[in-house]
Amino acid sequence: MIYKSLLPIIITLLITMAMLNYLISHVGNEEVKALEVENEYLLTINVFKQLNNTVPKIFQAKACLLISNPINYTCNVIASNITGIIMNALGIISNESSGVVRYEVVDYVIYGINNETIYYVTIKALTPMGDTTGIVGYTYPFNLCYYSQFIKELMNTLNANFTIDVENITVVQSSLGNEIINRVKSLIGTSSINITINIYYVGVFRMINRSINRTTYLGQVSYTARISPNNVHTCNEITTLAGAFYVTAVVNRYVNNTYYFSINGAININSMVINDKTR
Amino acid sequence: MVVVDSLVFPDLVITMILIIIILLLIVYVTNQLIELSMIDYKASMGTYLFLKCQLGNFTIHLNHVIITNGTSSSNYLLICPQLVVNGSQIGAKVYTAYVKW
Repeated sequence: MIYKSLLPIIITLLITMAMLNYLISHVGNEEVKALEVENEYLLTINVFKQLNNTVPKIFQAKACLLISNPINYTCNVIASNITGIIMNALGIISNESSGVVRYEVVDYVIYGINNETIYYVTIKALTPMGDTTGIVGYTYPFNLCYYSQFIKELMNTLNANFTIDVENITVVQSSLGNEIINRVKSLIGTSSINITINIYYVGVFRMINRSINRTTYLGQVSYTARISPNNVHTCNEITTLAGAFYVTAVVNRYVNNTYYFSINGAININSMVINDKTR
Repeated sequence: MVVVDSLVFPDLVITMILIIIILLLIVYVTNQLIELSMIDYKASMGTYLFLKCQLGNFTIHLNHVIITNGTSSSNYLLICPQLVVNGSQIGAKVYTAYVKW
């Protein structure tokens, strides 16, 4: 009857087996779920977080491009370029992970407000565990959208021809300088754009008409304007504009012997100083 | 015959059979215990690598966990995408951790 003493051992083993079976299926399921949750986090939220860390550097480089060429490179071009770069990176992740995850750009927005440019893109990540939507964005501390528009208007303003009435040809230079300053000031107006403008100009005038109480000179003035945003420390680029315009100077008297004369000058305008004065 | 009969008593046969059953059950239970510890190992490696991925340093030097570039099979532990600024582009890499025995 020895075998009877073995029966409790078998029963104990069977009970242990049943418990272990339960434990394995339970813990195994939990482990699979935990790994799914971890994988989903890494493929979605962690990717969005990493994008939020990388997009500012890309944006700053693109902003420099805009500042050096604001006529052709507008803020909409920045937005579509950066969105393209993001989509490209997400496409690589999708390919290299054998399609475990797919990303879709739902939409992207860029706009300038006060002294900031706000860009964000909405991305949808499709994983086997579900869909997650995230927003990646960056706020650049300068209104790039307004800046490129401003530069275009500035160029149009500077390229416009004009007429000045003077008492004497010696005041043509200061009169011209004031005219340029007034034009730029009226363009800046009460906007919150924070820039410094340096304009160098050179003009050569020749007499085109003379009568008893009136002498008319026509001058071609060439200018170089250097515009740089204030307080943008991530970029050393400046905008350079060059152009020419005609100035008709009318002197209200008969000028005896000056057929030609030339002028040159420099103007420095800080938009914040102008706005301080207007307030 | 009487001696043999008394030696091969039914008790002994049954005892032998039961001991064999007990041994088989012990092997089975041991196997289950190993399986349970493997689940535990995978879970703890998953947690460790989950944190490593978020810190941007997805490496490990263990014999039973390997990390590859890209994902080749569906039997992965964790997939870790890493993004870096590469000039004016965003460079993307995907690392995948597998458990091998």
